[in-house]
Amino acid sequence: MNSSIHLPVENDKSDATVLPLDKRLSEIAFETATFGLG
Amino acid sequence: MNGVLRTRVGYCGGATAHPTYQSIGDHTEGISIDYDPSVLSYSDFLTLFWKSHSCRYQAPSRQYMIAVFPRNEEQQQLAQQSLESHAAAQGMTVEQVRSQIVPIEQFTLAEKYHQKYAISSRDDLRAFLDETYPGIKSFADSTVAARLNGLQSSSPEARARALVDLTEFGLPEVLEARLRSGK
Repeated sequence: MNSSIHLPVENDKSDATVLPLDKRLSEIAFETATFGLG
Repeated sequence: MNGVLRTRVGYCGGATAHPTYQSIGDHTEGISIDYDPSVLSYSDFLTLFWKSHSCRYQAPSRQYMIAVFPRNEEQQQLAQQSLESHAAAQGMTVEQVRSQIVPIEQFTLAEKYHQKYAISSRDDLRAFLDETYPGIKSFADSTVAARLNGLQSSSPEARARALVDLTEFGLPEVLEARLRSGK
């Protein structure tokens, strides 16, 4: 089974909302930077 | 870094459908960083990127390419400007720079065992996080998991940061006490 999850780059809102810190951070507006580091 | 909200690892930059670690196709292993733009800027990351490697280095394969992966036109322009500035500062032409700029439209999460890798050596942490975030997406998105991963790493800065914030993580008391005691 292929379980890959593909995130469109404009729509990768956090799904981690159970723990209080994760929930608080999930509500902050964010931008994303992506790199390949070798 | 203050202002970093989440990190995930995965595959990007290629055209092959459904990349995985065993079948990565023409993709590159990458890191995706969500950040608070009121604290950090995209240019901050570009500065760190160029400082972190030699742009003369030729990667052995596309899988391990050193690259900026812009997600929109603004990032593309900033990345290109930073490449030109860095090349000039190194006394190089843009064509001589081996690091790449590759626009992306999609980022595929790497398998769960690649996310927050240092935690895998702690059964108690892994069990708690697996129960809290059973899905790969929520687990990869968890900043608590990332900070606990830092606690298991050899970085003194990451360990110190995790210990300061530990009470905010919402861990079971027994687990928190165990971590504080260094066990």
